[in-house]
Formats: sequence, structure tokens, C-alpha cells
Amino acid sequence: MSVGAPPTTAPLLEARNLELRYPVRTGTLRRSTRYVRAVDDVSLELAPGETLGVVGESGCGKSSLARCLVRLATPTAGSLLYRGTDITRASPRSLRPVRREIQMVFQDPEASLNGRKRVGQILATGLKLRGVPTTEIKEEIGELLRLVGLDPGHVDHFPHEFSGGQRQRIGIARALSADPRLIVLDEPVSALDVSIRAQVVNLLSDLRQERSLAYVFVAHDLAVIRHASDRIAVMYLGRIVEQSPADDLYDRPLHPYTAALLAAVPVPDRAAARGRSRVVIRGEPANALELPSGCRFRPRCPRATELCAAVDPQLADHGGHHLVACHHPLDGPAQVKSTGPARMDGPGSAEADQLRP
Amino acid sequence: MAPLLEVERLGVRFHTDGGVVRAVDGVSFALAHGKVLAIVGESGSGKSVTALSLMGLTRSANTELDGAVRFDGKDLLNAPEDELRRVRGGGMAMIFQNPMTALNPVQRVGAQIVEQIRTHERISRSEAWERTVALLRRVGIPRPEVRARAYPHEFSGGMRQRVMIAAALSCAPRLIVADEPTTALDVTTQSQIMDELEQLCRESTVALILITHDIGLVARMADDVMVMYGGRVLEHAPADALFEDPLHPYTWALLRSVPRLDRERVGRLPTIGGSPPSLLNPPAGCHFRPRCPHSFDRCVEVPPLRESVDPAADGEEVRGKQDEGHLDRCWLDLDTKRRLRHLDRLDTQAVALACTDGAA
Amino acid sequence: MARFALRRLFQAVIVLFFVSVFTFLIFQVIPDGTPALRLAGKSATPQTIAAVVRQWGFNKPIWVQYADMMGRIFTGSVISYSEHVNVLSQIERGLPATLSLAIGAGVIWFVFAVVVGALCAVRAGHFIDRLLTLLSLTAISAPTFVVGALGLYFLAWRVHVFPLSGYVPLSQSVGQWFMHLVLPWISLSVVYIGLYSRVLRSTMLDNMHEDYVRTARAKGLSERKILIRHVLRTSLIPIVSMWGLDFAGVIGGGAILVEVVFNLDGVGQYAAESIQALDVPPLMVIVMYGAVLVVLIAALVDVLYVWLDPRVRLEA
Repeated sequence: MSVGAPPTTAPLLEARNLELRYPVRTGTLRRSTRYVRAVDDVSLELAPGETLGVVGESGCGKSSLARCLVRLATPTAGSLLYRGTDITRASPRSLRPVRREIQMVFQDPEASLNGRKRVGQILATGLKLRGVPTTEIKEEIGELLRLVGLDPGHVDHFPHEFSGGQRQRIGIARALSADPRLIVLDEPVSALDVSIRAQVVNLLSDLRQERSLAYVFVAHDLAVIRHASDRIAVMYLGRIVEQSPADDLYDRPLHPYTAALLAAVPVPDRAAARGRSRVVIRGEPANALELPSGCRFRPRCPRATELCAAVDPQLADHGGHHLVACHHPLDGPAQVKSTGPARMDGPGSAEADQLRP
Repeated sequence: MAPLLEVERLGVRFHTDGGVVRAVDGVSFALAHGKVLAIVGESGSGKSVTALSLMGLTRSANTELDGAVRFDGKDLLNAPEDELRRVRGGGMAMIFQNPMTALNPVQRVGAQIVEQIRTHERISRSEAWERTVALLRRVGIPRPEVRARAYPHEFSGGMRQRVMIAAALSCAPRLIVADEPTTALDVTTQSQIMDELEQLCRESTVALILITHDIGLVARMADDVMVMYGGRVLEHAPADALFEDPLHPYTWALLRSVPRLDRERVGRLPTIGGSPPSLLNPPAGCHFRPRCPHSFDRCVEVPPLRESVDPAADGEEVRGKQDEGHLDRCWLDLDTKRRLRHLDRLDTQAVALACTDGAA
Repeated sequence: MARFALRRLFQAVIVLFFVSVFTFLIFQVIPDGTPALRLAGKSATPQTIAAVVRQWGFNKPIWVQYADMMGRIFTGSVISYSEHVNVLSQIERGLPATLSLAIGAGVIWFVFAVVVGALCAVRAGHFIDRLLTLLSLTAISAPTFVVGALGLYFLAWRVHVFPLSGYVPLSQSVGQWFMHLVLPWISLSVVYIGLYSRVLRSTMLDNMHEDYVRTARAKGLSERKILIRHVLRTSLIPIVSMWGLDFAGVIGGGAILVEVVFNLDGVGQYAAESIQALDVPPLMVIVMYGAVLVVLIAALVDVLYVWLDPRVRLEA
């Protein structure tokens, strides 16, 4: 399998038109219920051993998607297939074997580890679930700790006795204890310091090779996600707006939003930082309750036209498995509105002209 | 012209149940009017404590402060509380990390700015209100006369941080201390806010101290950079010099461990082994010693923060001088540092290539 | 806002319905609860009893009896079993005393709790905090009637600072009204002052470490202003909601013990006497009257709450 191409073999995990909506009660008597589609019509596939990065800003639905994929949340529509079996609405009982194979690592290891249990106890749960004989559990725990780069002697310590980076390693060891095939990582390194972040990212890539794991790597940090992923999906207000092999996305972003995201990341280089035109898009994402007509990015998009207001663009392949949902992708003919120089205009403003290809 | 802010051997010690924490140890620097100083470091490096101590915000029964902080020639560190209060929010304003919690949730945002203005100036409520609306307009808040009457929870994170910036600017400060101002925000918002902040500071020649862990932001904003680690300054240099010619092993390792969008993807990120020192029991000598691949016997002594010693200076061929005012805290001589840095880079490239090949 | 009120009203009606049903049923099931026997007198003949049963409608099905009772409550024509007097006029007679007691005590305990709590929070860990903490804990654990009895004994019996008991209407003499109520106010307030000041102290100590307090300090505000405008205001929120419910309870006849100890002849005391006599009609009315007040004041507190904490919205 060539890295970055969507799976040609049978996918490990497949989501078809997945939707997760939350009711939001409004009005005085809380009678009028409106829905926020945190995940809206998302389809994706993941091959065994592959890493799919999911990137987007807060509120784009990436964490909700992660929760759907591990079935911590039940999708309200669409279907979710694990190794060909539909688990969209599987009962807790029939989910049990799947739960072992799909694990999750959370952003905040402090909150996701039981503070009253020792590291050994935390890891033993997964091992017992897997049916490891009691006599071998101790040995296995030591092995797990070594695997994630912790001292096996610390088996009797409590989570709070470790640093943030070490706690995240415990979180990873806990996920590994069930011997999963897929780990969904929800912002696994964003709470960590730069030097520790690199250690954990490397650890994850080592583990992936050693144990042939597949990852769904959810993050807001474009640099980290590029590093960790084979393919990347960019989310905006519940939708995947662009999906492509990792390198291609960074070399040739097609969606104006992706381009804006990339341009907004400060680069640790003086000349580049000074020379770059930084202001790319203005304003903030629309309210999820009052989505604009047509394309959701339209109000902030410098390339928006009447077509964008009328027709909601669908994901389409632009070659090399590079999918984008945009009427005016950046490699096509530009139809830029003529606008003056960009100035701060607050949310909803679409005045910026730096996006011309 | 005398510098706006001079900090001399600032020390902050916290007395805790576990013992004495030396959060900041001998930090000295000067900042000229209108300049941007970035203080970079990881958590526990002492960068935020340094920032808070400038305004006396770390004062408490369990805190021991020493050294001097001179703002406009006046010492603030030992100044009485009411003198300090005149500076806080007046000549020196602060922007905090988390805009979601830094504003009082039960007060209208306009009222919170009016409160600050009227603390420092004897003007009427309506005048202060007018100025507040003008400030909110200036930081890019739409319909400011309406939004000034809204409560913080009715604003998004980015908009709240704009409110904080408006409040900071309200009394014509000469220095703004921004403690991780965009860490809690999304990248597109961050980029807007930093643009705004930079422009406002340049417009009114306000000096800025930017506390951050984001090297990218530093590259974009700073005139000078101070790298802190374990409560000490390890390197202090003009920004160009620091990025061109980082001299402390920690700085160059830190710069390299940041995954970058502007370079080819590598198979493996360069890392710094181990974790930052405990400030309760810091290692003897250089704090970076336990994690430093180049440490040697002498590192058990604390190295001074100074211009690197150039061995070539005594008559031999000079291999290129370092920039003026480029200080670092390492016993290695200039030449050795540059050589080791080069070797380190080759090393990581080799590892990265090997990994990339292996993966393909 | 109007819709909010409507919704609250609807909720209130349901609450009141259940309260009335439960109260009514309780008196149906308690032993020795047959009112006809007591109404008819000690040496009543079966005929008299039967007449009483017929006259008061005790032979009707229970829901009819309930409906009759509720009907009389709404028309204000409830007659008590023991005295054969209109219950409403009895309650009206006791109301001034109860209102004087409740309102005075409510104000006292709120003000003192805020002062004591704030003082403790500001001087946390110091001598004054420890002393007040000790006193608060003592106050919380002291039953109202003990405080009342001790006050009576020392300040009215041994030293004649205050009158022994009874209630003097405000219209008769302001001074006497006040002197008669000082001890009842104190004995009713003590527990609440202790309780509320502890809650306020801990809320304030939490809020002092909030980011916005640090912001206020960085703005150059004086410690006093920070304390009053930023720390105290947000810390009052839990106190206000507690106060609303407790105050409603007291005004609705919950200060039974204090009224009895000081012989104030208020609504609470009337309730106590009715309980002793197993006199259902007055109790039904008093309970309903209390419930209406609790529901009403709870709604007012909700409105106050929105004013104090704009994050809470009536709508949405």
C-alpha cells in the first residue's frame, strides 16, 4: 500500500455519512429544539496500520467525530463499520470485543486517568479484559511501561506523581494494555511542552510500527498532525472540507480554509516570519445554530461567489486522492472579488484578498 | 535614552510545604521604549512568574522577592502597594493567557474597562464610557456601543482577548506584558489578535513583553529574545541573532524540536531527552546539564550569563564574531558551540533520513 | 419574561396540588385521627357522632372530602374542628407577629452572615477567623430553642434587659415591638448566621484565586474595591438562593419553635397548637399558605439570581 492513498485493502474502520447532532433547547419554555450538527455527513476510511489526521479549530466537530468513532457517542445518522461489521448502533454487549480493539487516548491525562488507582492497577484492567493470566499480568505491566518509556519500578505510583508527559505515556500504555488495532488520539500532545511533545509524537510513531497500529490522530496543531499522519482530513463546522495524503495537503492546499489555516501558523524562522503575508482570513466561524446557506466557509472566504451561497459544495477528487469540497479550489481558475486591502472587520467579514493563487 | 524597564538580578522564591521553590533566579534585562521582548520557555521555566513579579503580582506572605525592577527609573520591587497600584493598569498593563476566565463573568465588559480608566484618571463615568467604546472599536469589536453592554460569556474567546487588549490600552500604557496571550485561541484567531496587538503597540510606541512557548510567535514579533529554563535565563539575544546563531545547547535543541511547516517532513522529530528540572531540587550547576548531550565536568558549576568566549580571539584566525549583546549561559566556548550545533544538526538529519527511508 | 412567569406559575400549581394532597392524606392515616369523635365531645352518643359525621361530611368518599376542603380554602371559609372559628381570621391575627419575626430575622441573619463571612475570608487563618469559625460552628450546632431559652433566662429573667415574652403590635408601640422581638430575632438568626458565613467564607476564598481577581489587581484596583466589586458580588450568589428558600420557610410558619418559646402567638404557634389538637383544617391552610409563599419567593429569588449572575438566563 502506498503511503497516503486511501485504503485499497478492506478498511479497518469505515464511516459513511456519519452524523452526530445535539439537541439545543431554545426559547422560553425550552420547547423549540434546534439541532447542532457537530458531525455532519462525514465519510472516511482507515486502513489497518494507517494514520489519519483530523485537523480543525475548536468547535469544528473533530472531538465529536473522535467520540463517534470509538462509539463513546452514538451517531444520529449514517453508519460506522469496523472490519466490515456495522457497529453504528451495536449494543454495549456486542460492542465489548470491538471496544478492546478500538482504544482512545485523551488530551488531558490528568482528567482521564483515575487518580486513586496506582499505575499498575490502571494497566491491569485492560490486561484482565484481554484474558491475560493473572500470573503474567505483573510481567506484562512492566513490559508496557518499558514500551512507553517509563520506569517499570514506578508501577506502584499514582498518576499525580508523574509529570504531564509521563502521564500521557501512562494514558498510551493504558490504551495499549487492551492490545488494540486502532487508537483514536484526541489532542494527545496539546497539553504538553514543546520538548515533551516531540518525545510523545515519536513514541506514537514507534509504537505504530512495532504493533502495526492504526491511528486516528485528532489535533488542532497543523505541524504536529502533518508529522504524525499519512492522510489528513480538514474539518470546518462539522464537515470534512478537504482530505488528502499528508504531504500533498501542505504542498498544495486546495480549500481556501486549509490555505488560511496553514498561513496562520507562525513559522519559527525570522526571514519567513517577516516576509509572509499573514492576514489571510478574518472573523470567526459562523454560529453552529445558524449556518450560512451553501458553503459554510462562505462568509469568511475571499473567493466566495453567488454559487457558493446557492449550492453546498460536495467533496470531489482533484487527482491523487486529494478531495476538496469547494466551488473555487485554489488550483482552479480564481474568481476573486475585488476588495480593498484587508482591515479588521469583525466576524463574518469576507474582506481579505491575500488568497489569490 | 534610559531604558523603560530595567530588571536586575530578579529572584522569586516561593515557600511551600514541600520546601523553597526558586521560581526565578537572577534574571536581568533591560527593555527600551517601543521594543518587543519575548520570553520563551516551557512550563516551570519561570517566564510567567517573572512577568507577574514585574508588577508585584506575586507578592504574598510566602513569596520572597529580591533584586530590582526599575520602571521609568523608579524601583517597583520594593515600592509600597499604593505606588505599585498606580503603575498597574496605568503605565504597565497586563494581558493574561485565558480570556475565558480573566474577565469578571458578572460585570459588563464595558464596565470593567471603565473601572480601570476611573481608577487611574479623574474623569466622569460618561467620558470613560466614551473612551471605552472607542477602544473597543479600535481593537476590532463590531458595534462597540452595543457590545460594551454585553457580558463576557456573550463573546467568543478571540473577542474576549480583544476586550482584554482594549482594557490594557485604556490608560495609555508604556509597557504591555502579555502572558501567553493567544495560547488558548485557535490559529486563525491567534494570527488576527497578534497582528492587532503588534500594530497597536507600534502605533503608540508601547513596549511589549511577550511571554510564550510558541517559537513561531517569537520569530514573528520579537526584537529581543530571552530563553528561560528552570528559573534562569539561558540565552538572551537580539531575535535575528538567536534564530541565526543559537548558542545555548538548550536553545538549539528547542528550536529543532518544533515540528515545522516550512521544511520537508522528517521521519522523526528531534527531541530533548528527559524532562525539565524540579525547582524544589534543581540539579547542581547548569540546570540543563542532566538533559544536555554536551555537558562536561565544569557544568556542575553554574555558568555565568555572558558573551561567549572566543578562543580564536587571541591572535588566531577569527571565525566570525557573534552579535553584540548575545548572551548565553554555557561553559562551552563559541567555536565549540557552533561546531557541536552543526554536528547535532547533521545527526538529527541522518536519523530523520534513516527513518524516512525505512518508512517508505 | 412573561413566558417565564407563566411557566413558573404552572409549576407552582403542580407543586401546590401535591403538597395539599399529601398534607390531606397524612391526617387521614395517622392514628386517632377520626375527627368526628373529638368534635362530638367526650360523652357523645352514637347518634350525635353520626350527626357530626353527616354534618362535616366525613362519610363522603375521600376525594370528595378533599375537594370540599380545597373549595373552602379557596373561598376562605375553612372552619377549625376544635374552636369552630374561621381559620383565615385566626391566621390573619397571627400574621403580623410572624412577619415581624421573619423579616427582621431575615435581614439580621443576611447582613451578619455577610459581615462575618467576609471578615473570615479576608483574615483567613488569622485569630479573628479562627474565633469566628469556632463561634459559627457552635451556632450551627445549637438548636434554636436552646439559644432562645438561654437568652430568655439570662437576658429577660435574671437581668431584665428584654421582656419575658409576648408580642406587641408595631402600631401600638414601636419601642415595645422592637424590644419584644430582639431575643426571638437573635435566636432565629444564630443558626443561619453560622451556616451562611461558612458558605460565604469558602466561596470567597475560592473566588479570590479566580483569574478575574488577578486581572482586577493588574488593573490597579485597591484591595478593598477588588474585594467588594469582584470577590463579594460573585460570592453572594449561593447565599442569596439559600436565603430565599430559608426566608420563605420562616415566613411560611417555619419558626414554630421560636414562636412557641417566646409566646409570640404567630402563625407558627397556631400551627403548633393545631397539631397538638390534631385539628386538620388550620393545618391544611397553614401548609398551603407556607407552600404558596415558598413557591413565590423561590420565583423572586430566580429573578434576583439572573440579576446577580447574568450567565444564568431565564430563556434559552
